[in-house]
Amino acid sequence: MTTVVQTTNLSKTYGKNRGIDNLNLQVLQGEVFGYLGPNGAGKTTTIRTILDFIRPTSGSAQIFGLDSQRDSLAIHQKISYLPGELVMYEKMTGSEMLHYFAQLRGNVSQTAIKQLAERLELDLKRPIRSLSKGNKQKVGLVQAFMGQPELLILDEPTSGLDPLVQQTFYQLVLEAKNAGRTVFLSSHVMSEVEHICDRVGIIRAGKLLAIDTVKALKARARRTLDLYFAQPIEPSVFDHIPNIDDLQVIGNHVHCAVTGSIDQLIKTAAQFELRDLVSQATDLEDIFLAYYKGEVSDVA
Amino acid sequence: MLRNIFSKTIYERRRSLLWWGLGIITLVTVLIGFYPAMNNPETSEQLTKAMEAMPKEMLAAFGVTDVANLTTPAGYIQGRLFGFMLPLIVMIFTIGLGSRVIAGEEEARTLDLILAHPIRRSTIVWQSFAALSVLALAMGLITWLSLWLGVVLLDMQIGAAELGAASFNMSLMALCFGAIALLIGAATGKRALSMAVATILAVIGYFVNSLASVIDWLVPLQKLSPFYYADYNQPLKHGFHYLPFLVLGSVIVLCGFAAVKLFERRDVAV
Repeated sequence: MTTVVQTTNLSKTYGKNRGIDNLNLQVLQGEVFGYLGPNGAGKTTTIRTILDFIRPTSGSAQIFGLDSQRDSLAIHQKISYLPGELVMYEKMTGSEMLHYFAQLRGNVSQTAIKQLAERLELDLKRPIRSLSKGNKQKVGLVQAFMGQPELLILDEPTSGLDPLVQQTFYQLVLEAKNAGRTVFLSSHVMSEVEHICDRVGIIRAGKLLAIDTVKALKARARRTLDLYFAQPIEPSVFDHIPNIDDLQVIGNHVHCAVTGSIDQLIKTAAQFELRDLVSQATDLEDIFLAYYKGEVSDVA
Repeated sequence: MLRNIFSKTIYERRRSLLWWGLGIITLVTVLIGFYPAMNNPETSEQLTKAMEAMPKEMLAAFGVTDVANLTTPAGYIQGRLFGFMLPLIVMIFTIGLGSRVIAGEEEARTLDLILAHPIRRSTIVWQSFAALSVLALAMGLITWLSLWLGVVLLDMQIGAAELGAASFNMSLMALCFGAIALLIGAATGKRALSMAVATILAVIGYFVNSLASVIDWLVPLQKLSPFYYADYNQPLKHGFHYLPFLVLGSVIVLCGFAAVKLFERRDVAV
């Protein structure tokens, strides 16, 4: 697998408590990479450094093996970008705007613009200023997908989109992936990252907390379990299990939280007659919140 | 029309150019239209007397340096039009545009989208610069044509070449301040700041040049003011001179190079 984006000890400090700190990030060719973190965590800073809008305080970023600063022109020929805070020329129509960006990029077919606009149900004849936030975002999406770039960098791409359009967006991302393109998208919405990303990086306060496949992150997840036994249970029975916490025993009802494998807990519980077991389904949201609160930290 | 930053900038400003152009035409028409009344010997004598009674410093501040000359065609056009009103109009346009092209787009956050495209930062600066120059010269052209028409209709005995030289110098001077605004915008990304600095420099440049005729110690400083070069060698009488072109042109080009250098090395829209 070829590496498309590689940051090496990438740091950017400005102002107070803003920026990114020693970021080592790798995005592979053909994958959909989710960059997850709360607002202000440093997602946009990372993206804007990769794009050479701002320069790293230390460290470096390579895109397609090229230096983000020295070779920015060659890099920009192969990428497209959707800003998180999308502002366009209010007086232009969608069609004028996209035509302008197509000219700046080169090699964009009019058919591609038309098809994308149709799929997103976007009226290109209307001036940007008359469009709703969601419709503006659609113009931004057409702009990002129309040139068929090798790498799409999308900052909070689904913000303002209604659920139906989000589905179309997921489709577009999948199609790009199937065509061998790489997608780097940032989000603070866990469910969408879980839905479409192969790998996820979690960032908080400028630091990368975890980077792994969705599956692996889920395996490490903390989940809550409720076990109902036929008779009252002594709490000491579960004391020796290392990866549980929040243990509460009320008569024959045992409640606890498990981080990672539930194997040991289930085997211990199986010694007794078990009436019922309720497991709260894990989603990335919980994992993310756990990281967010600083409960888990496992990245060297 | 939207092929690149150059043509997009011009296309976006087309209405603005039209309105400012109409402003110039109106101003020129009204003032040239009043010339026959001023040229009447009786009026002109009265006017000269009235003007002579005023403090020289005040007249100088309004761009009038030669009272006796004010009723000749060249003196009238210089004093009433090129001395203050025309440069004011063209400079509002050039300083406004100069601060808008980079700093304005940066503050509006549209610059991010442009920068993500395969365009060098230097290309962004030079194309913006070219658009600014073309629009400033277009304002000069409008000035020239409307003046020429008036002068021909009223038989004011000033040649097209002389009017052209004065109009060209004026647009170069206005472009000079527009270039300063662009430079500061490119260096800082702050639109209001670049507009303010360029405007303050224009005000200082104006007063230093016009008051130098009455305040001696300003004379050496006068040569630092772009206004000095706009009126250098009295273009309405003697036509084109290479010096204003050379000096103002150099300042403009230097601003361009400095803008490229400073824009290339800084963080954009932090």
